[in-house]
Amino acid sequence: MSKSRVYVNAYESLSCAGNTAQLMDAAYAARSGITINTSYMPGIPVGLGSFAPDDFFSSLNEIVRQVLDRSDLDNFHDTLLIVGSSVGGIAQSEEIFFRDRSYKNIDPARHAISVISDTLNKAFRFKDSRSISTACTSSANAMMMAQRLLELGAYENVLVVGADALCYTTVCGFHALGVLSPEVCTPFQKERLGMNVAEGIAALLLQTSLKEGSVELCGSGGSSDAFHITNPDPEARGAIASMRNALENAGIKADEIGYVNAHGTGTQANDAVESLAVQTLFKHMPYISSTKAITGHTLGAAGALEAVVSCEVLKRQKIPPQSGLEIAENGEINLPYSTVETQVDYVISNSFAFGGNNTSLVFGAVK
Amino acid sequence: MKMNFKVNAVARVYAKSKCDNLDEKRLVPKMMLRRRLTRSAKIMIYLSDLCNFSDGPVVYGSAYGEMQATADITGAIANSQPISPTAFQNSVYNTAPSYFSLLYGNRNEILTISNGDDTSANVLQAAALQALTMNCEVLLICSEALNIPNIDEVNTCTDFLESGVALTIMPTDEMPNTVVKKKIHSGFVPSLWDMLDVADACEAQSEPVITLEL
Repeated sequence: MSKSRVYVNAYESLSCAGNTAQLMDAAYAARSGITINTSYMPGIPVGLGSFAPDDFFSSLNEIVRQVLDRSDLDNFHDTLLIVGSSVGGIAQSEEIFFRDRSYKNIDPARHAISVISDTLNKAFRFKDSRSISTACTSSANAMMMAQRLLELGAYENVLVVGADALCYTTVCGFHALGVLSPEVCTPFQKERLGMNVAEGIAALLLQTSLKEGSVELCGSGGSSDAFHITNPDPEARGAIASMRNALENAGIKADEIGYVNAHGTGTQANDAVESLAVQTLFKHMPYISSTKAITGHTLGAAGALEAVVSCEVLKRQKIPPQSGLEIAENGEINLPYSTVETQVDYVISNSFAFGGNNTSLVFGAVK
Repeated sequence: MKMNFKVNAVARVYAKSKCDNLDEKRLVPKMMLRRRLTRSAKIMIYLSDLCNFSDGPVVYGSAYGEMQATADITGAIANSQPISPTAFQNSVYNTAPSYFSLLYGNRNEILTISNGDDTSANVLQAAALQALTMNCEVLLICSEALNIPNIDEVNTCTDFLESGVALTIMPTDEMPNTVVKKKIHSGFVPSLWDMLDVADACEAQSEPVITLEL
């Protein structure tokens, strides 16, 4: 069976660093959008990424509207929607439960993950929709599913949306795990303090037709650690496997990767394991950095948001520095201290999640 | 795009409040792991055993995810109590298949679908895509575990608070011999209905082959 090629033809995002243009300006300037916040846990300062006062669901519709405006489509009536989200509508449920101390006024349909696809279907009337929730790999897996469906010719247009709002459950939950940083996170730094939870929305239109400004989604790969419910395998077998599977699927060699857009949360465990995986797989030391120091960890939206960053790096041929880095924990990986202008043909973007769920995406510049 | 798939196994379990005898002690001999399992994880491990599946790609679905863990967390926050790290670890929608992968050392891809009442329809589509992409047998499971305190405040239509249905499928060149009819499965969460339709049709047919849309 011959396979179609898959192109990212339009996209937009919103994070605490602003829209995509503002995010990239901030990434190249190493200027974080994270703020220190005590509203979720009084007396306990944590770094969070918020785009408040913008309303989450209004912003969701607005971001998708902007992608439609930038596309060659009149509407999304012939487009498949694939959503990736880890919390869905839980922020609204929390608000009601904390007020009422009862579930009575919670609408189950507005609580579930499907509130994202329901909201977008109501506004744009997609041909069909799917919704994936694999924690922090949710929208990376949505990208992988989109690629496979487009390659097979099942669809010509797929819109991938990654979306997660800030909520008490995630902020307080990560605090309970002892992994939240009280400051702006510093991925891959020797003495780092942890991660920043954040909200984010990213939408990417993937098509089988090549347009001006297209970036190719060349390959994707997944794996499971089968090691621990939250901690990554310290031997990095799962992370190596997902990257290796993505490279194989893309039909390229490891030494063709010019930039690794890291998962890079800033936690002790993730960054050490991801560094080991990159060090093991890429002997030519490609540049690697994590934009979570700019946007925070947008959880289920992170895969899509960082797919947008990967596309921008390929279009601009400019690699963002590792913001906040002073002394790297692992000297065997190539973390840039400042923006690097260089030829980048391929980027690999990693997403890793609870349950040892790993997904890697390979993007290529269209030549 | 439609393709044909052989259905190798079908299993289901359900109860009005709690499924008894999920055979946890035999299936999960390590007590430390067994004690951490959520109800959805126990249902998943039980159903996968009935399907004789322990290694390969998995597609799991749940419209509402880990309700007990979520309720524990929000209850703790509301009462200014500390959150249990285990509750938070167990609160994500992919908790059940993650414990399954831990138990059996399964390093294959795992997808978790959650799309409201369309969840099991989406699971069938996603599993068909996975089976075709990897050209191998795929386990697909949909389950809901809604038996948390005060669920009656929001539950108006579900009699069976714990329920799960599982299938294993693999691509085939054989022609379909099983017609799947849409039915109303009264008392069950609608998120399971599409897979229950397939399970009903396949249980009535020897060596069933069905057509699935990608």
